[in-house]
Amino acid sequence: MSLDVFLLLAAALFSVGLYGVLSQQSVVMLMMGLELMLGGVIVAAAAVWHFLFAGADAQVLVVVAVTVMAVEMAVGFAVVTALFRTREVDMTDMAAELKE
Amino acid sequence: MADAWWSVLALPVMLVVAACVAAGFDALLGASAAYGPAGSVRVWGTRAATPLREARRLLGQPARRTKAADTALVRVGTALLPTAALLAGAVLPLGFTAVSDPGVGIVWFNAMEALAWAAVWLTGWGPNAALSMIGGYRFLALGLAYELPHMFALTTAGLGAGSLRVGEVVAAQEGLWFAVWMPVAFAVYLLSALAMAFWGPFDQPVGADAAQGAAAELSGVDRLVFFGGRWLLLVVAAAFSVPLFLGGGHGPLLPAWAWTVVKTAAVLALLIGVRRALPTLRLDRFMGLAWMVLLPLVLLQALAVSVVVVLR
Amino acid sequence: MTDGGVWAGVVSVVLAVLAVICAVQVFRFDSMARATYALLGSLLCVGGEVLLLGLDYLGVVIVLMMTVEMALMGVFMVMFMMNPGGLMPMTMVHNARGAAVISGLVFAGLTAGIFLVPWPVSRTRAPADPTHDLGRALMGPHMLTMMTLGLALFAAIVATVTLATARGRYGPSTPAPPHGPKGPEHPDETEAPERPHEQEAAPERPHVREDSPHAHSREDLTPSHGRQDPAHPRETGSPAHPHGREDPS
Repeated sequence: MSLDVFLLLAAALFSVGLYGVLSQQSVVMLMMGLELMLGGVIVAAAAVWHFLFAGADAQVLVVVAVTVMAVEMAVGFAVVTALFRTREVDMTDMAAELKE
Repeated sequence: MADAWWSVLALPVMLVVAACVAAGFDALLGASAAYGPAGSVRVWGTRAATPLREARRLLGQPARRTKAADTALVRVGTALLPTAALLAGAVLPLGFTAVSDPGVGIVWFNAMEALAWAAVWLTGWGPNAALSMIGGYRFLALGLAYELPHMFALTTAGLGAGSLRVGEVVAAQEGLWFAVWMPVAFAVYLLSALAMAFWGPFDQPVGADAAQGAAAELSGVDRLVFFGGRWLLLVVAAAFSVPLFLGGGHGPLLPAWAWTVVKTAAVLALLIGVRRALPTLRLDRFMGLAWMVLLPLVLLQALAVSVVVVLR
Repeated sequence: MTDGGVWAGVVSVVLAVLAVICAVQVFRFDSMARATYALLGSLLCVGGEVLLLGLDYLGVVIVLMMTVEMALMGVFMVMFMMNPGGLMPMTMVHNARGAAVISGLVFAGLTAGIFLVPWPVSRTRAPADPTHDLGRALMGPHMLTMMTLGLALFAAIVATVTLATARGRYGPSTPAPPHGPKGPEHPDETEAPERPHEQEAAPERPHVREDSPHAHSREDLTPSHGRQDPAHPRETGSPAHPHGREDPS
């Protein structure tokens, strides 16, 4: 087990998630990309805890990242639901205006 | 902690035997209700062996596939249900030794039975059929209702012992069982055990009104694996209430493993009997009940337990 | 730096490769159910890696939360995506090459950093019970984080429920009057939504459910099917009139 493997995994997950966020038209797929990015953050924080500094800070970062994942998904789906009800679309391109 | 490697093999065997016995008991109850009390021991034996005959019949049945079904997802879903049950059972102690006793045993149990959510939804979605998809969705709704009270009931037991390790929870019940001084948590845990195996009043995910819901399009080995997994999950959930709330292997005369078996059998008999006693509960009503009644009650129970623990 | 047995190293590499494969497959599957569960597979591998690194409680909590989250995400995927079963090949991407270039550059930059940064030698020894440490930290020095998380979760619950109920943010909707309340003048129309819509090479029409009242009224009354007719800009629905108005053309 080496630090490089875990950090490479974190970088790879982050990049794949970034690709999803930038390229996907559908809001739900975009959120899946966000989840992958946060997964990368979690792996990086856990690797730092194990290899570099075994304090509580890295663990708290993992907790925060997991909470952010949950909150992002919940609010994201609520926004998509509201968007879908008013505009009947779920694409980011057509959500250019959210004002009522 | 059982260091012997054979315990990993013994666990599935014991759980499957327990599931067969439980299914036989359920078949006995059902046959007595339908055909009247059994006349002789031979009739008893025949009725109790119904699940085994059914399993043999399913093994020989050809698989029926629906049009454009996602077969991979069906296989993953049906196989995931018994796998989740077996993984969750890895922290079950027989007497005082379990296959493994990790420091976060209670959370491990919770995480492994949450895999059942994915299992039932995938089984419902895979066959590309409306009623089976409805069954899968129903299980997610059921899960949303029971999961939070379940988690808080588990947390309360961990609170009482001051640890998340199942071995320490058992050790903390040497004097007084947790079921005695945290009864609300025990009752909520039993309800959630029924719900997590979608049994009894919570069997809408495989309900008769939806042509057996998530299992509507299953046949042959898939059906056997799915319903076998459901039985395993019920057995594991009932068995986990023993170390958590009923004192594990503690008891006066019998050896520890015998007490575990006796207590598990009692809880299982209760849970199986509940199915005959109560009708199916509609999920929207249960959702309201779970969020408005069970959750505040179990939170108050947790508060009471933490006050006791702090003052102790 | 390396530590742990060979077995742990092999498992960490296997889980890492599996995680990345599943992550890539998320965006390649046609079936939305498969994409959701590929994401679950990737995040379960992340949970496994965290477990391997010695964070027992956090690893198991990640497994638990991700399973429940992805199971529910599956419901939303099916609700909103137009090809949930994957029975037709479909790609809905915009600027795929630009996105690939950017993410490739980011990955290259991060990898360069990983191999070039002189990582410090660990001076602290891994504690025996990280869960206990975490609990003490959250209730002690990191209490601010705990309170913020609690408030954020509460705000998320309130916001989610408000946005998602049928009642919406504006209260009960008033029923639409029989003939459109406005004449040919539509002061609240804007041109912005139409332009990107017209220039897209991908689906011409917005993602409209065929059984919605909007679809029927548009089919019946608008002279142009598909493309937007600039003389008759599309009505922008507002939550006060959920069932739309008849197109005055």
